[in-house]
Amino acid sequence: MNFPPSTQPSAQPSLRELCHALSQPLTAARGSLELALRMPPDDPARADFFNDALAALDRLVIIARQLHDAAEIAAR
Amino acid sequence: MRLLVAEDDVSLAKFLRKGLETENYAVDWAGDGEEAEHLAEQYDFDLVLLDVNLPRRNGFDVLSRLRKKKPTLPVLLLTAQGRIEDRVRGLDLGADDYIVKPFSFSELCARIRALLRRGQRPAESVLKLDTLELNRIEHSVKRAGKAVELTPKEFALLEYLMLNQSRRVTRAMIIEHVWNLSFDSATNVVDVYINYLRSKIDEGHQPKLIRTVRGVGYQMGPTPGSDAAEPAAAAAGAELE
Repeated sequence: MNFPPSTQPSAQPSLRELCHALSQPLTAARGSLELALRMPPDDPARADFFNDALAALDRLVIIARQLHDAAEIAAR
Repeated sequence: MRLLVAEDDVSLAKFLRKGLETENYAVDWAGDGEEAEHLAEQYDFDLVLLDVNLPRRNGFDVLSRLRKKKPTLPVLLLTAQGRIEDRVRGLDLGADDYIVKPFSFSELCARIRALLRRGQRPAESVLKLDTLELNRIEHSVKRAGKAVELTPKEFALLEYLMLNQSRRVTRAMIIEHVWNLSFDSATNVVDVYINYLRSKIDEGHQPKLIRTVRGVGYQMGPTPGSDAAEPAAAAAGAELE
């Protein structure tokens, strides 16, 4: 099966959903860095894995902002 | 070896496929439970990585149905952190192991290797043909005692050919097992990679072990007395036998 375009978390996910959503990009970021560090410096695939790690970190930033918003709403 | 990754998070699934391919596995992906069950039943996978929270049919249902049809297929569950009940339920339903997200890729690979080892007799871990040896667990290859460096795809291709050395394999079969189900089977990529393998495995050795079968595909086996003729003929697109 081919991969469809990546999807972002839904508009107003719950705290529980957001906490669950953290595990996917954390796994991808950590794993991509593990693989990149294992490769020789001149391997072109190494840069791909660093870029994948960055993309996963971008997703984590989005989720962190959503967690912040959800926590503020919950505190009101 | 061929793995099925059943994971609905597209980015994580992409990473798993890419990462596992660097570990010499052929990887197919299912984005929901129904597709995972269909693919796992229809095709010969060596192991399934099964996320618990899949849309359309959750991982537990897939596992439960799969166990009735393929009781020995190794299944490694991907579970969410802190869900002890998920792990217990999964193991009770017949999962062979589980790993909790977020996980280390090295640990995932070690667990996969352990499960694959468990399912094989020692003789199946090292495939041999004449002076060629392929170690499926260590991912190493030797010809006449000397180490041969192969790319992940070359390794997967040689492994598939050696696993099927008693029969002829078509280009379509090779595409399906070594690449993945979404790969375009109309390309000549198989022939290109066979030539790469020949140059690494057969060049300078006798007998030649990768044979072209006329009108069919390829088969592993000694080709006596063709030291110079076969690579030249193969490069010109000719078919032997």
